[in-house]
Amino acid sequence: MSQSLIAVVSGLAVALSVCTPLAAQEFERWELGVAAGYAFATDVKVENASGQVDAGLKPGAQFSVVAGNHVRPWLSGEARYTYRMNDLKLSDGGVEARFDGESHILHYDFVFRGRFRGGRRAVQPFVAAGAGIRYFRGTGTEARTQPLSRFAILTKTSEIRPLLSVGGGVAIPVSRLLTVRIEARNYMSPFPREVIAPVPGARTSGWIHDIVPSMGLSFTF
Amino acid sequence: MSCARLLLLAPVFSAGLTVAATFGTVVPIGGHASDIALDEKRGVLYIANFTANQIDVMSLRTNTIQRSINVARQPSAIALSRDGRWLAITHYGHNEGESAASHNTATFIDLNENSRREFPLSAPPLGVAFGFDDRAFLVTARDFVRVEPVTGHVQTIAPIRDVVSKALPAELATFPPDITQASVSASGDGRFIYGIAEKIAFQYDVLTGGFGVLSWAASPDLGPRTLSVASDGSYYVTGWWVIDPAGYIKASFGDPSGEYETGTHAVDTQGGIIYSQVPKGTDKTAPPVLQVVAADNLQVFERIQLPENLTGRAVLNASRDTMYSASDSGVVVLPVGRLNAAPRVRAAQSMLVFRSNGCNREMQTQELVIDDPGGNRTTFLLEPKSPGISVSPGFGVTPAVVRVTVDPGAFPDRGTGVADIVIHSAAAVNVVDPVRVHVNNRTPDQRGTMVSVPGKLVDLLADPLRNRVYILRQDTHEVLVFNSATHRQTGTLRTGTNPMHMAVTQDGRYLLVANDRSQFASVFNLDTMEAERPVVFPSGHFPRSIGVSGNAILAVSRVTGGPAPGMIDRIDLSRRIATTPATLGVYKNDVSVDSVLAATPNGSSVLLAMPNGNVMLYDANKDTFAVSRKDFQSLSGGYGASNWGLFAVDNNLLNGSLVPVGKLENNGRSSGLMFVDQTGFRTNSTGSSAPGTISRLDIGRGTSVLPTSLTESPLLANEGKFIRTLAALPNRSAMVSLSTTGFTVLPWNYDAAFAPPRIERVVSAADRSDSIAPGGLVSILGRDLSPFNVSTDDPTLADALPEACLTVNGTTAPIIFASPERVNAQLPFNAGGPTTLILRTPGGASDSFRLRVATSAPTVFRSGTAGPETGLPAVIRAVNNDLVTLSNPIHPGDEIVIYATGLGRTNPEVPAGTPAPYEPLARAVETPQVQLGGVDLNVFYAGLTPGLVGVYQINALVPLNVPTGFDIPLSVGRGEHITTLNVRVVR
Repeated sequence: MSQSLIAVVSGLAVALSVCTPLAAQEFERWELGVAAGYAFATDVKVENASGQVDAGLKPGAQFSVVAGNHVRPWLSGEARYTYRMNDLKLSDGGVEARFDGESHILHYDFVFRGRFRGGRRAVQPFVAAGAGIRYFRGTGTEARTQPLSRFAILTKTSEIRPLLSVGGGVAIPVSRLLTVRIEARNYMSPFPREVIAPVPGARTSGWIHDIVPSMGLSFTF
Repeated sequence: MSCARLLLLAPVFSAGLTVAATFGTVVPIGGHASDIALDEKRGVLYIANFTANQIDVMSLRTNTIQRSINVARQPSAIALSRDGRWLAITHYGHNEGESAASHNTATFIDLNENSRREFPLSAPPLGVAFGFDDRAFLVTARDFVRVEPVTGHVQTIAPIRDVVSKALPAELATFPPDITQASVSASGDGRFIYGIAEKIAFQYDVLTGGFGVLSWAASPDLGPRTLSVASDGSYYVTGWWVIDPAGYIKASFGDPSGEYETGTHAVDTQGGIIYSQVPKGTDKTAPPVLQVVAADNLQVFERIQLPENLTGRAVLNASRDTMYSASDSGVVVLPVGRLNAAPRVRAAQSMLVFRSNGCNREMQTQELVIDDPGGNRTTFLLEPKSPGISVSPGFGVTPAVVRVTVDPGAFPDRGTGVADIVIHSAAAVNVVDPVRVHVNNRTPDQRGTMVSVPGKLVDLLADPLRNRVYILRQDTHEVLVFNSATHRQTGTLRTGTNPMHMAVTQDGRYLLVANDRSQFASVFNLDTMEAERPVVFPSGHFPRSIGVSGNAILAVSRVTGGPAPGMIDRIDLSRRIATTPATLGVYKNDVSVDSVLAATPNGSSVLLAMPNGNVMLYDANKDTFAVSRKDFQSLSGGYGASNWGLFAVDNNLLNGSLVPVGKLENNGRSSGLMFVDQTGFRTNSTGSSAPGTISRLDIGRGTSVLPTSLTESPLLANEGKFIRTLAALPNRSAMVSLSTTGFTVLPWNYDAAFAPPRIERVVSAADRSDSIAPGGLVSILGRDLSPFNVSTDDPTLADALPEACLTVNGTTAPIIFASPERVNAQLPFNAGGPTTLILRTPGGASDSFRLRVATSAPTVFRSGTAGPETGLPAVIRAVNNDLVTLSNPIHPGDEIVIYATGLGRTNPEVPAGTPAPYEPLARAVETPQVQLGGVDLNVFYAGLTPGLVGVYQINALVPLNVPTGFDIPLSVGRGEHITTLNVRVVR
């Protein structure tokens, strides 16, 4: 994905985060929270004349912090930073190349909330969607050889890719100020072609879907 | 030290040619010391002054005589009880014309109470020692008695026969060991007491009361007449023998004089060494020398010059750092534990080998390191024994690096000349071995690759199953194990003393080594490469040659005190013993000690050849000696046995009945004889400095054919001796000849006819481009460039590989690899512009090949490998010292190292064939430009790689603004000589 697309998505996220609170003067609450989860990413095929391999991210833990603004009882917007431990990988049958890696994800989501019966302590289901950026880094130790290097090279470098986020879950108030959030998200980003660099003659396409079940605790005021 | 000071010191060094430093302090006693006893508790050494009738007491602190204790006449032996209370003194009273009993006494001095008591003895006393029970054990010419000093109780343990004591008065200049002729010592733990007297040795187990007497015969007689026991009693040293408790001779010193009165031993059990002076019989005027030898096989570690002869018992103190010995003047104190503080000199290399060839007879130089093992600064002077050798500097102070230069023209045109560099040092206390300089001159028709091996090599054997060659090195008592493919030494096996001959068992599992100065034949497991229990030979039998048949394993033994000087023994390998057959079939078991055994490869028979011309044949099927003939006046040199009923000894071919069937032409002395299937090979030489020849045996005609000159002479046996110097590798890839400087490897087709070499192209050895510059490594491509593949990693390429030599504008170019299609060499640094190459091989000289040599033409080595990928550019990232590849890409800010050749001349200049120095670095006169993606790199070093020949390196920093990608061009060079390769760059 081009740098211009990254700029558009980033700009949209920033605009939403600024504009949404302005439209909600009557009902306004703020939310600060943390969350942790474990992510599983889908693979992307890298292929050349000799065959194809699976490329992608190894499962790994993730940690995030979130800041939200509830402008309506059913609508809020939230900005979220996520650190994801995602070693890079190439695999083909029993052969696997692995390289230390990580991501830093920054995005803004719109959150639409419902409410089950139960008054103020009722469980709130919600869905969320948004966009942002994902900063991929290869942090492993470089060596002269790497398995499956005829397809792609797991590289010690970094790159920024746009990101779309969708997900949903439930918010469970445990007190007047505290809410437990259990949710699942899908972080979608184009394949990181710099840190998992297809060699000349190899090609790849598609997006990486990073499915992240997580649980968090929010302080709402 | 400045040159001026060295020049001033030169006369001092020269004076050292006649004056030698010695080690140890002499303490005169004004009489003849017959025995000593160390009393560390009181800080004194008791010295029995035989002729002055007193016990001199020497202070261990000051090494001076403090006082003397007057005692009865002729104190011949003394011993201190283990609790330090009693000093036992025997008095030798065998005076002619007097009653024997009148003066044969023992005195016990109570050192605590300062009292003494005397006991009469029935016969002249021979020695005394204390056991762990603090009872004294006295040996007289008649009996062995035990004395309780406190009670005075005397108990006879065993009678002793056959000892005739010498009567007094003695002849002039007779010393105590000549009179008593005996010595008695206890083991360090006091359990065992060993003794020697006249022609017997005896031992007593203090714990069990077991007593044994051993009669022996030795020639020369068993001197020096002193005895030293290992602290655990596991062996003792007396005369020139090391004997185990069973009475077997573990090892013996070579060429002993046998004199009773000169020499000594002191066993350092913990250190596994023996300090000994055993004078040589061949040179009675030689100055006294203390040897430090290995206790197991008497390998000599050090030779120390003594101030005077040691003449009796020697003892070590408890800390094993000081040795006291009776000596000519009284006592010598030797601080052996502080030997490193004494100045010594040695050469790091015992041998230097210089090789020239058909292209090069120029002066050659090698470095020789002279040092002091203790790290002292010791002066020395070098004296080359040939006008063709010069050393610079000729004198100095250790440690020093000396340049040894030889003029090959001063040595034989073909073959290996030898001369010594003698090392003198007025300050050094050790005997300094000379450095042996070998200079080999050869012409391209001489065949073989020399591998230098120092030492006295005496036998050669190829492992029939493994990729190994075994060489017997006699001076260090070891088998050197070489990988037969790489010609590198891969192991060492310690043998017994003075190994003579090797044999491999028919199953290929064991290597047997006959040790001429031991009653044991060494056994090595060839699978584990470890020594196993040795084979014990009968008393007085010393194995010298072993032949392994499919039935019996036979050995020729030197026999002392037996019915014949040499006999055949039969080895039972499973029981590890050898026995002596009464007869050899219908023949007497009486063979020459210099006989040799040669088994046929299939083990069907064993040839026995003797220097007096006798030959015998053992038939393994009949298990007897079936043939004995004497058709020759004498035989010596090489010997061999084939599976096909053919044998060869010296210059003679023998059939299966050992009947002479052919006489080989006598063109020099026979050395190697070998049969491979139905083909025979023979090496001979007119002398050790001649080239020697190898030829095939025409078995039908009984002649040798296709004689081919060798690089150097095969080893030649001494007159009347046999030697084995030729072996074929089991895979028939090559054969090995023991030769003057080590061994020579010959290709199997060594005598094939070769076409003249033909050069077709000369390219950079780095990338096979046409870019060539002075000092660069080049590949010469063509046909018939070398008879076979050979390479060297010799850091000094001054020696061209033997089978081909190259000249560039008449100057010899060092070759590092040669094959029929390719020769790699380094161009001389003075090459430039139009250049002519000529290659010489055994097939002749090539036509002149002309090429242009640029001033600088860098080419990057394509020698990198990454998994299955080869031919990668030799570009290294300094951050991880690894090759730049797609998975190890260059990053902005990296330091990279590019290995290349062809950067041209350097400052300072480095001679071709010489490794580049580390200090100062040899920088390229013309620094190449390096660009990455069109961006200049900051080159902070371009020049020769230290330690390598013809290899340059460029160290450069990658700027931050370089482009990234998979194929970023990296270019090196200037003008028309730019080499470009692609690398991956990422941020």
